[in-house]
Amino acid sequence: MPTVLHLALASYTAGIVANTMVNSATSIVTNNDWPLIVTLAASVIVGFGMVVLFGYASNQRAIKRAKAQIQGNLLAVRLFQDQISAVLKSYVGILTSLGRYLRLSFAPLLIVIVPLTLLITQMDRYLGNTPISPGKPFLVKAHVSNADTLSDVALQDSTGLAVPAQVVRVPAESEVIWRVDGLPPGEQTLNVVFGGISVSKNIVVGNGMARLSSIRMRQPLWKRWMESGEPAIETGAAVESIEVLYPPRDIAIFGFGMGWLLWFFVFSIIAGFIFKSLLGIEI
Amino acid sequence: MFGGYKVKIDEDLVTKLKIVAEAGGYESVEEFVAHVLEREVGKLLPEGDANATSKEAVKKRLRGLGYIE
Amino acid sequence: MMRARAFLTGQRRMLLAALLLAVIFTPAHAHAYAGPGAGFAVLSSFWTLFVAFVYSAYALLTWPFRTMLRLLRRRKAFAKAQIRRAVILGFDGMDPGLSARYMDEGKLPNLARLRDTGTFRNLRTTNPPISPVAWSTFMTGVNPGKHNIYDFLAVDRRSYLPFLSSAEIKGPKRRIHLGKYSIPLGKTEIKRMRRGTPFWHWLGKAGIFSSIIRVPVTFPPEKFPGVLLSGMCVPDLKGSQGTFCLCSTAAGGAFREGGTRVPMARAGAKLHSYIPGPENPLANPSAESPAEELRVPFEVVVNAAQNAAKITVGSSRKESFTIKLGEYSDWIPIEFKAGLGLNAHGICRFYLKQLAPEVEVYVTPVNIDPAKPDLPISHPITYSVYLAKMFGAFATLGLAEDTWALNEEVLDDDAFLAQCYGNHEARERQLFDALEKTPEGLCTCVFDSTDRVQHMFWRYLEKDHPATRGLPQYATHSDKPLVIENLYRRVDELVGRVMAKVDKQQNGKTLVMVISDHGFQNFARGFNLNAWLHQNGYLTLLPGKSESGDWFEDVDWSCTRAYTMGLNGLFLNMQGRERQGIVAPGAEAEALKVELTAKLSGLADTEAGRIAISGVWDTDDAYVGPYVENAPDLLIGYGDGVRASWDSVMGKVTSAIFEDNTKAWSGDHCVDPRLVPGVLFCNRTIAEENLAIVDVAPTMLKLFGLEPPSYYDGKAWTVAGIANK
Repeated sequence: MPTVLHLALASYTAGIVANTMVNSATSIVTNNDWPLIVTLAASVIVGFGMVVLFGYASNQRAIKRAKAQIQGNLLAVRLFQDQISAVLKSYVGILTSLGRYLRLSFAPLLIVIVPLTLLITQMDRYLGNTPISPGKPFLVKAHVSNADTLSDVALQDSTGLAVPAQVVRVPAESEVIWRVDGLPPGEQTLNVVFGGISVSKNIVVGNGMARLSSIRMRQPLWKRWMESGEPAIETGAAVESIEVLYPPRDIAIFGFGMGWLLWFFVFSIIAGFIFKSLLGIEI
Repeated sequence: MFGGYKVKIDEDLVTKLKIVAEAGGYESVEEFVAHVLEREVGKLLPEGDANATSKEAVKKRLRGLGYIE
Repeated sequence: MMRARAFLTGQRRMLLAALLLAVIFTPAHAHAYAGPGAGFAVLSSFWTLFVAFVYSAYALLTWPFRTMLRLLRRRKAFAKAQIRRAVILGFDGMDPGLSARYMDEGKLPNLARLRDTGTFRNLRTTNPPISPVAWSTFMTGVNPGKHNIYDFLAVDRRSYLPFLSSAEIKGPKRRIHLGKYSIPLGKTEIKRMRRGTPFWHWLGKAGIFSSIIRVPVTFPPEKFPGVLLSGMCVPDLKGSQGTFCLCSTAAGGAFREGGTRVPMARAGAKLHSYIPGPENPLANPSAESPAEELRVPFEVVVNAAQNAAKITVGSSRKESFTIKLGEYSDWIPIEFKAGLGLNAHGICRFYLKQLAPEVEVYVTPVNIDPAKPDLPISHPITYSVYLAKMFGAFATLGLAEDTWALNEEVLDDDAFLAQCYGNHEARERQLFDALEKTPEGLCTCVFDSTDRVQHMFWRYLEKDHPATRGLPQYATHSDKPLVIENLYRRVDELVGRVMAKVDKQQNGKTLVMVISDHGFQNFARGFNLNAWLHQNGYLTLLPGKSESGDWFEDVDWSCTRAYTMGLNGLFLNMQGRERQGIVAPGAEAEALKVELTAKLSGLADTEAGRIAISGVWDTDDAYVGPYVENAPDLLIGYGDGVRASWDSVMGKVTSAIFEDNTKAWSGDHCVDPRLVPGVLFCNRTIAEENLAIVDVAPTMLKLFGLEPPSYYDGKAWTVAGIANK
């Protein structure tokens, strides 16, 4: 039975954790920090979903046994440390059980990873970058199939007028880069015109959170699913891709900023630990 | 033996204790000293809870001991 | 694009670093979670490899020093050693008479080979010939007067109540009261009552490693250079020596002993019941209400078509399994929640006893969970965890085989045997692992199944045992179930496998001994010594009483000169020792002992035509040592077929002195020690003819080249050359 010291330590730790959580919650609500709220909520839901999915997709008994064997062999290394042959056998035991564990985890992990990867790419559209700030300059980059004709490539707004911008042409890369001076807030469309064909690119200008697609491309569906959020460029057009460089988004907690993906990993792992213990699922 | 508590004993006495402990069938001087002290303390300070152990508690503890009913 | 890529690459690097950090700094259990993302698969493996790496680094760095130290110590230790390894297989209660008979009949080829090429002898047991006494002598090399164990029970001379002789468990002395909680301050204290030092401690001091499995009276486990799993006397989670429960939809009376009946309530298609656990350690003991018992609920869904039931145990974290009628479940982990996050961890097995007309589920006593031991049951404490991880959960209770469930007919013969052999097989796995892990040194493992099976099935060996009267008769005596013969065959087969393993590992360098602490005999008649003392004027009841309740309930101590409690001891009601003692120490006590010895020696059971008592010994003569004062005053040696009656053991005075023993518990050994010697097989020849269990410890020390301590009572044997084949 635990002693009072254990109890005291446990309650002290619980106090600190509770206090931190309350502070964070207050700060989130008062600052209306939606990216953080979405990241936290997604972490909890994903942590839960992944644990449940893994539980269903895996051979729980076998995983439990493999993990127990790993732990048992680790203990054996310590218990019989002076019996060299026993220690060596235990190391072999650790490696074989580890192999068995990885094999048992592989199929369920594949099942779990597929929906998760799709989910992460979609979430990255909203959380990975911030929209272009209103009135602030930004870069637009077009990649064309023929480097000799870079000078004919033009950037126009939705009404067909040229967009005021400084242009840099990089023939080696078949790229044209515009430094656009700034746009008013809202969802804007820019067109890259070349050889009489106009290819449009969606640009979000403003603050807060929006679904962003940094690149429009002429690639197969799966690649566009992973990297773009816009329809494919028609096959006849010489423009292969148009990219807007949105600034990366940092989410700050207690003044410490990181990309949403890192926070997502941290929080979903924590959520996973909690749900795994609550649901009694071996991972 | 002493739960970490040390008592200083005169060397002459230790020599005598060794002889007596060995003659008495004790494994060590520590065992002898602990036993003698335990016995003496038991005489002077009988355990207060001797009567407090209820028959029910005794029965519970012995339950399942195959040799007794 | 380039910058974006660089950013992504940078982020990926950070991600990996974060994963690694998370792996390194997460607590022990945390490593199990493979978080979302690509790092899933490697998380656990990273942690394991990291721990393995730290261990390896530690082992590698310290290896030269440890090896040097070990070589130095070993050279010293093994310098005079005649053997590199000793394997002692203990079979509690294995009888030399039955062994000889079955060997002669060709049924025990492996033991016969040991007999023919090595040694087979009777092994003189202790007086009394009871397991805790004999095994204490085995390990300490001294008589009971020096190790202080005289019976399972000892008497509190102030209250005339019994207590377990081997260990005393006391809750924390002080508590803080906080609302409805009473929080214990400090640890549970386990006091070891056995004195003396097991011989493997001396081996350890000389640098010789030992693996000791389930030797009785090794609870609480003591620190020494080796590993040890405690045996007989380890309590269950309720603090008893084993309390089973029968959960039933039928109403029924309480069991006399060993178990509790728990109601099972119907609610639609489900049946609800619970497993009773320990008292809540946080409950306020001073409160007026009785101590609150912790419980774990379970529900049963019967599948009549399949003759099975699905059982779901627990409230928050549930564990479901299906068992068929007449089958046991695996060991199921049970968590009793006390509040404030404190849990008691146990394991138990479920047995589906009956489905119609009533539903009945038997639950074994809740054993301490070896993977999460709330009390230390091994040394180091991680040894039981290691065994549980490697081979699955196993019975940790001292007397793990539920003899009372068979006595009370809650289990039938087959169900009891299945339980026994389940434990036996788990023990075998532990033994073979210990053989692997102990290529040099001492490996000792004691099996209890031999004792329990003989206790419960001796009735089939006898022509006419009171326990089998009235049951459907077998056409001939030879039709009776061959339970005990099969038991000995199983022992023989195990010995064969151990010998094969030993020969393969280290031909010729390993000494193998098969020993038992005592033999066995029939228990057909019970003798109530308290009743005899009462009828012969040595024990007086209160006015108007002709019988007493348990534990001397109606005894008038002011007029009582002698009493008995436990299996073989007789106590004088001595002035200055017993709270209400009346016998003066010295001449009066001596005279009384002489008088009682004279009257009891050779006492006959005329009804059964047996000698009830074939020997009486004065412990002042039988024992030598500092703790003789704690021993009974006289030891009673019961004759063939007789033992202390069930009532007599519990301090109960009945009107009848003799009674038939009608319980399934039909064989016993708590008798005249001359009638139940133990057994010794060895793969080497031993010169001496008269061997005793007290000699094992000095013999072992001598074989490993150590000088036995001067206080030892046993003598080392002269063990000759190798006879492995």
